Amino acid sequence: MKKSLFFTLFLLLLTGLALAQTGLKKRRPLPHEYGRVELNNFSEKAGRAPVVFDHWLHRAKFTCRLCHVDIGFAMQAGSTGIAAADNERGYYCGACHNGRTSFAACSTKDQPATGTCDRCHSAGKKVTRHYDFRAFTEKLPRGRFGNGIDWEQAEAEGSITPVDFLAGVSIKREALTPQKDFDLTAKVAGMPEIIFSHQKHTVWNGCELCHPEIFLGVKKGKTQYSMTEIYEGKYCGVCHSSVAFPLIDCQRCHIKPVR
Amino acid sequence: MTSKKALFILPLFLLAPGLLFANDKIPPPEKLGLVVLGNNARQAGLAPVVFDHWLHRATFTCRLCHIDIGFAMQAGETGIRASLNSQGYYCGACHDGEKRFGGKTIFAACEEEGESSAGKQCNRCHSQGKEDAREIRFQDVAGKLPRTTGNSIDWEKAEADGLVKPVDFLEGVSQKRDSLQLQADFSIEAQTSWASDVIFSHKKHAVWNGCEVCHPAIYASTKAGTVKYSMFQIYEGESCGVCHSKVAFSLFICDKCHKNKVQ
Amino acid sequence: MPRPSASFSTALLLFCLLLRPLPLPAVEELKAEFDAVCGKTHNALNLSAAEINELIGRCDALKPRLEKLGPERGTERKVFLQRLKMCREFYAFALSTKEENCP
Repeated sequence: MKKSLFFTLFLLLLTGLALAQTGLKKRRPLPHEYGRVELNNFSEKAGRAPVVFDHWLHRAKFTCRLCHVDIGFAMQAGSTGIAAADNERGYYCGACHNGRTSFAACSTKDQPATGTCDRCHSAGKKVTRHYDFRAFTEKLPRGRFGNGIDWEQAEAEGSITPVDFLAGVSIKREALTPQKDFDLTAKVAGMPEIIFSHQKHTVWNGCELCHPEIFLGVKKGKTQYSMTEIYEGKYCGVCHSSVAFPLIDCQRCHIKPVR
Repeated sequence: MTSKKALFILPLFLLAPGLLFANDKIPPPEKLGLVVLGNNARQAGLAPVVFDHWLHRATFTCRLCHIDIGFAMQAGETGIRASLNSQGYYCGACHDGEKRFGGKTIFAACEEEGESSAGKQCNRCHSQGKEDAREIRFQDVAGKLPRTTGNSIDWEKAEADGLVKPVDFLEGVSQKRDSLQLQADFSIEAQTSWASDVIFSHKKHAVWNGCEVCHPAIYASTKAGTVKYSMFQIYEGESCGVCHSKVAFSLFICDKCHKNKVQ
Repeated sequence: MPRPSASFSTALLLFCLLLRPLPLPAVEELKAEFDAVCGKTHNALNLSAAEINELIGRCDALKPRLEKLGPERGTERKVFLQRLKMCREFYAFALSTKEENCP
């Protein structure tokens, strides 16, 4: 009896996995939706709509590192567990959304009639965004996928200058000395090699965002990455499937002609 | 029957209808790739959209629509709305009443309620139950194209012979990219002794799909031999079955893929 | 009204200080130590193994102090323990990198 139950569950699991693998069957997010995160740890319990966080607006203004290292937001949606009390004490959203640097985050006390709650707690509401995606991104260089913006190029040409230091939160550091670029041999014959640029990554991420949590091995060739694992959200896939340009942009990484 | 047996058989029963209805025969050529989209049409008081792949694939690559424009590969999943079309997404990427193709202005997609009744344009897509409103008929397109088993259009041959020249770049939507060197054709060993091995040609597939339609969403790994395919999964719409039988030639035309002689 | 004696005032002041959940300077001190220890991650690869080891030691010493923060300092505890974890792990990573590249 127990065995058959186990078997049934196993079959169901297999079916689920088979369904999960065909990602293209699902709708791809539109440019303004790419990198969208919905947070509902406490919102609905407190009688508010879940928070809709769009990465595009914040990443145009701040580095990934500032929020994910200095402020301490986890890389998995919902796992930070941001509470209104945390914000009020000046942490997480409240590190900036304090009424001085930017509009104040929602308070545990009664919200004054400023109407700012809706600016973040906006899931399912018809909220007119303060920043219109099209207007905001109009002049930025185009990218093929994701937000439809080439963020790397935008930063390099100075169209955006993401802030990497927040007074009172960030630690004053010496400038970073990035490691050299290196190439990774593709496993498939004829596939161009990957050129990995530390320089391009550290602009946004510093060091500790990727090491050692996402990439443990440093010795070249020690860790073997497979596209299957990356596609499942490991390694490069931590960012390059949800916020940074997505994995269907093959030639953004596979760029070095095979010798 | 003991409950033990029942538990074992139940999942099989659950799967069976899917298997039976998935691909029971080779559809008539004009019905292959027919998709009915009724997500939001009924709500807006319009007939569901009947989309025939044959019309669009004669002029555009699969990649252009499913990657650059971003239509999902599962009917109804994209959630196309009039408001999105009018912003230039999905159908509205071309159907904006301004873009020109083949010497003609492409008619505009329906606008949101109110203006939708102006003229017969709506019927050109929202045509379920009123097929007479169609301007281009199957024979107009398929008449001159080569056919294969089951009278299906042989798209591969049509493209190779230059009878169709699918457009792969849409100004304002597509982005220029470096081309990738294609992997050579390879064979996939059949798992049975009675079927020939499959010869897979990247070249034939890339003409229509580039890299991105298949990788990494359908085939995450590109390393030959990493993934084992079963015909059951393929019948259920996985791997090759995402396109073959639905839009690309039917899985029932076995020898189109299983063509390497058994040694 | 008689003025309270100096010793009474001092006693009251001391009592008040003891009553406070955790005096602010203590949290500030922990933050200052965190900044001093974790401000060098970006240049960790330029430090000697001994220097990195010293920083790791200071991380390990800071951790129990942060863990002791009470519920009224719950946010600080959560935020700084997370930041300290990333920082300590990076130093350990930098150390192993150095060892691998220059054994």
